[in-house]
Order: sequence, then C-alpha cells, then structure tokens
Amino acid sequence: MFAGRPLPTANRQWGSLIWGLAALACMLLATVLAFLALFGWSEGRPDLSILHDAYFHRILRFTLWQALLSTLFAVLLALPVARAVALDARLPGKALFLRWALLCFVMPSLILITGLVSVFGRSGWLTPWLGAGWNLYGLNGILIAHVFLNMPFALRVLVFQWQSIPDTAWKVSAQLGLSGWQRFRLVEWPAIRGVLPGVAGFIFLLCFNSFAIVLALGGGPRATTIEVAIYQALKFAFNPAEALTLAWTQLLVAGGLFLLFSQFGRLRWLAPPQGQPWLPALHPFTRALGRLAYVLAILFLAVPIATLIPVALFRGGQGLPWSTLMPVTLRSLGFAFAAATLATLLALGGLELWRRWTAPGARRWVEFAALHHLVIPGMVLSVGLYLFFLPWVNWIRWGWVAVIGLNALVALPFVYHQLKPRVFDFDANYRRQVADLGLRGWPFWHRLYLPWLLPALRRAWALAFVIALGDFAVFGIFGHDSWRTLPWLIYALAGSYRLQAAALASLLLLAFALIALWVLEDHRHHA
Amino acid sequence: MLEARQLVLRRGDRQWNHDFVLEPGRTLALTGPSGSGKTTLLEAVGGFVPVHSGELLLAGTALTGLPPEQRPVSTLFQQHNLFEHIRVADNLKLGFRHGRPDAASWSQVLAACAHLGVDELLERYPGELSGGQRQRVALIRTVLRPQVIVVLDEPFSALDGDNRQRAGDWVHQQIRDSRRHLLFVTHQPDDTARWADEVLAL
Repeated sequence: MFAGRPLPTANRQWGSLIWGLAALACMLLATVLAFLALFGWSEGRPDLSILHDAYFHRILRFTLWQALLSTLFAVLLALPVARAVALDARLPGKALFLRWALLCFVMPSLILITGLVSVFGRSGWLTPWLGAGWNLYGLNGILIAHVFLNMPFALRVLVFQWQSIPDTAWKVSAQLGLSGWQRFRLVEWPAIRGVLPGVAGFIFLLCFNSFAIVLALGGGPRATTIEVAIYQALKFAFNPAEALTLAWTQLLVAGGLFLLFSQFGRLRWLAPPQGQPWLPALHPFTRALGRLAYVLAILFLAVPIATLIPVALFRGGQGLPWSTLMPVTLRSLGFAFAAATLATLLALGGLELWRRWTAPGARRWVEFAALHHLVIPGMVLSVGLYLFFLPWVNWIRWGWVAVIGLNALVALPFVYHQLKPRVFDFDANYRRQVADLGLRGWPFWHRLYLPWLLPALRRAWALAFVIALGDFAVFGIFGHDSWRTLPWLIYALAGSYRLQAAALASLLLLAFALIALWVLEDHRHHA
Repeated sequence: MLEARQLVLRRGDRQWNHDFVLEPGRTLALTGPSGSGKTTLLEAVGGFVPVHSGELLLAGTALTGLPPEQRPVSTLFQQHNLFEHIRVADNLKLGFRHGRPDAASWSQVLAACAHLGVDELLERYPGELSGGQRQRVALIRTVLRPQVIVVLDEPFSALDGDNRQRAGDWVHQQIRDSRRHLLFVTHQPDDTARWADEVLAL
C-alpha cells in the first residue's frame, strides 16, 4: 500500500513564510525609514544642546509628572470599584458596566474631549460650582481625561484577577472563619499584587505617550508632553534635529518602561468575564463602601458622554455641515475597516513566523517587530515617513494610504497581544495532531485554524477598528481638509465654537465604536 | 513489513534499544511499567521523537528522515486527539485528504460510528462528550485514515468492559482486513491476549 504511492513532496509552506516575512518587513521598515528620514533632514545629528535647556527639562518633568499622577489616580480609584464588581454578587448592571468600561478605554479621544469641555469647560454646566480658580485646560483636564480613559482598563484587569481566585480559596477562608482583613491579606492581595506593576506600567506608558488629550487640553507650553513637543517641533518650527532628540528621549523612557512592565506577564482585560459560583459574604461596611465607589465610577464614566446628548440635541444639527457628513463618515469607516484588516493580517503574518521559528532569539525579533510601535512616538513615525516619501509622493492625493498603514501599525501591538495566546494554545494542544493528520494549506486554515482563531480574531479586529476610527495624530500629519475624517471634523467644529455640532458628530462616532464593540464582546460563548 | 533495525531512542539520559519486525495485517502490543519507553517508541514511529541511531523501515523504505506530516502513520495520542472548536463530524472528516472524504470512505466512517455507538453524536462538540465517547470517536478517525501504520497509545483506557471489547475487536479486524500494521500500548493483560499477534515487553 505505502510502497505503491509516491512520497509526498516536502511540506515547505512557502506561502505562509512569504506572508510572515512581508509582514515583518512592513513592521520594521516603517520605523527604520522614519528614523532615516529624520536623520537625513537633521544631517544625522540630534540637537543635544536642548538637553541643557530649561524648556526640555520642563517638558520632561511635566510628562513624567502627569503620567505618574494619572497612573496613581487610575489604579487607586479602580481598586475599590473592581473589588465591588468582582465580589458583590448583588451589584446590579455589572456586565453592562464592564462593557462601558471597555468602551471608555478605547474611546476616541475627541469624543471624550468634547464631553469634558461640555461639563468642565469655560461654559460647561458644572463649571460654576467648581470655584473661580477652576480651569479645565492644563494638568486638571489632562488628569481627568487620562483617568477616564485608563481607570476602566485597570478596573477590568483587576476584576478578572479577583475573579480568577479559585472557588475553593473562598470556601476554605470561610470555613477557617477568617476576618475580612485576613481574607484580603491572605487570599485577595496575593492574587492582585502580581498584576499591579504591569497595570501601572502600561497606564504610565499610555499617558507618557499621550497626544490628542494633551494637544487639546494641555493649554500651552507649561502643560506639554514630549509627544506634543515633537509635533510642535516638526509642524510649527520644522526643526527635525530637536524632534530627534525629543524622540530619542521618549524612546528611551518609554522603551525602558515597556521592557520593565512586559516582564510582569500578560494582562487579561478583553477576555469574557468568568462566572463565579460561590462568593464570600462581604462585611456590610465594606460592601456599602464598594457600592458607593461603584456609583461614583458610573457617574464619572457616564456623565461626560451623557452630557453630549442634550448638547447635541440643542441645535446640534444646525451647525453640522450635513453635505459633508456622509462622505466624512464613510471615509472614517473605510479607513478604520482597512486599517483593522491590515493590522490583523500583519499580526497573523508575524504569528506565522512565530509558530515557524521556535528559537527564542528569532521569536524575540518577531515580538519586537510587532510590539515596538507601542513605544515609538507616533509623531516620529508619521513625520519620518512623510519626509522620506515626500520627493516621490503627492501626500494630498495619497495621504490616505499612509493613514491606513500607520493606523494599522498603531493598532498592531494590541492585535498581536490578543491573538498570540490563542495561537500559542493551538500549537500547545494540537501541533502533534495537525502534523499527524498532515493538514496544511487552505484546508488547514479553512477547516481548522480560522475557526479556532475566530473569537480572538473578532476581538482583535474590532479593537483595531475602534482604535483606527478614533485616530487623530496620524491624520494630523497626512490628512488634508479636502478628505477629513470624523475626529478631525469634530476638532474643526469645536475649534470654531460649534460645540453642539461637535457633540452631535461625537455621538455619531461613538455609535460606530459601540457597534464595533458589540461585535467584539458578543459571541462570548465561543471564547 | 514494518521493521525496527537496531533502533536507539534517547530522552534525557535514558536510552532504549529496539529490534522488531511486524508483518502487514498484524498487531504489536507494547507493554511495561510507566517510564519504560512505550510512548517514546510510538512517538518515534510517528516522527515526533528523533531517532538517535538505527533504522525504521516500511517495505524496505526508511521512514527515519521523514517529518511527521509525510509519514504514513496515523496516531491516537493519550490526549488532545479531538479539536474542541469543531463538531465531531468535522473532526472525523479531517482524517481524510483536504478534510473531504469520498462517499465510500464517509459511509465506512458512519458504519463504524454506528457499530461503536457514537452515531448520534456527530453534530455535537467534543466538549459535550464523555471520556469514553471521545475516545471512540478519536479511535474511528485514527483507524480509518488511509495510513499503513496505525499507532494507538492506550486506546481503550476510558472504555468500560463492553465498549472496550467491541472497540478492540473492531480495530483488530480493520487492521487485519486492510493488511496494515498496528502498534498499541496497553497495561491490560487481557488486551494483549485478545488482540496482539506479537508483544514487545519493555
């Protein structure tokens, strides 16, 4: 039987190798070309004199300070709320609240900014009660926005962590008659302390690299981050040498932080919540405190967005350029769709190499290529590529290609992070079985691998879609008024004091983000 | 004919030497205590453990240099035989080229499912099956794949008395009728007495 049939040809799977290498090249080339361009324009010399400048010290100090405060507030405020959500069995609306928290974390910045201005701005409805010295613009606004965006992330990670405490640990602590404090110290704290450095590090990194929030709410040179300073150095002063120095500073700090927090393992925040069949009884006082924290968190996360509704309904339609709204919306959706698809294809390509190259060194390269965009200043990437291709490309005509490509790279680390554990599990469980069955090529992908990846693919794609939908920074470099996206339309409306129209456009953007997140979180039974 | 000629296998600081010949249509039972190298030998036949020295030959052709995907071997592992995210029917189809069995092969699968009592489970997911049902489904796919060598690692461990008897008889008959080679690991002397043509005690 065997002797009668020819041996199959070697199973090289060139297709997936080429796909993986192409993805790897895209990920790395963008960064290399961007830095080459900036080196070229600054004649290869960063402007080191700026390191002795008081301006630089002030920016660095403020960047670190606002990131530190944002992180502290986000994590400390998340702790009691997460505990209440995880352990208070009778707390109403938990599932909806966790979904809303997810939306807040990935919420397009411009929606939040419009909401915050409506509540806390000069003519915001809450401003008269905040005292004469209140000013949203500056550290106040930056902190509120950063806590709004990042506290939900900390909250979700901590909820999952609390829920991962085994049932038996609660039962044993109940049988031993442990007090609330003893139970916290012996059962809960060991479970959550492991993720706290990782959560704090990640939030610090996001706030350290913050752009849109600081640009809109920073309020001048006294409240500027390095990312915004790079933008200003390039956009207004056109000083690539100074931008390079700032970029290297940002890279060193952000890269160091990234290396540090990536040692703390993977943070779960997007997986479906787990059920808990048995929970301990909480002390009435701590339960009441938890519920109070829960209500305050709901108010904090809901009010800025809910405010948009009456603001938008109050003559919002009058200031909105209806004739351009449809093309702007379709363009935003098209860009986000393309960027999310490209990010998913890049991540899958990188993961094909990761599966194929089992040597730790090779795998580290793949990881670096896929994740390093988290710490590369988006401004450096955008401006570098803008300059590099400027002699050959008419950006007014072809800028949309860069908007899609760079947004895909911005979303790539998140997509990769979501897909990798699923790929890892597949290989860990089934690698031998797949080899034994001789499955490869299209039948392998179509019948086995894609159905396995589908829940994670859905989550990753939707996440990338929302990130790209809210893009502000990349469009700021490559975009043009003749083909605006929704966030820039909102920015233009708010900038021309048409806040009601900006609120209406923000609600539209929010609706699309909500639909994408519904796709993301629905189908939890498959995950 | 399947032949292990001065086959040396190593795992860590342990080493096993094997010499055996198995004619088509016959069954070789591997017995011995845990850690005696039974699974290692099966994995070497499947290409998952490298051969240190010696030869593994099928009809005079060396298998040793071939990767698992290209070996004419069908394996039932101790666990993770079924893909949890696809239905039982799709799991069974994956045993055939491109996951699309021809009509004759599929009716053979259905007949086997009816014979072993799992024909009602085709539309379910593996997670909805008991341990014994999972083992029978995996056994059907492994045995009915058109591979010349069938390798079963403790194939009846989750089956009760009647099902064990029925499954063992079915496997034995399939191998004999198709004149293929079967190697299986067991800890039960009854299995060896009933179905093994030869025994390799390790």
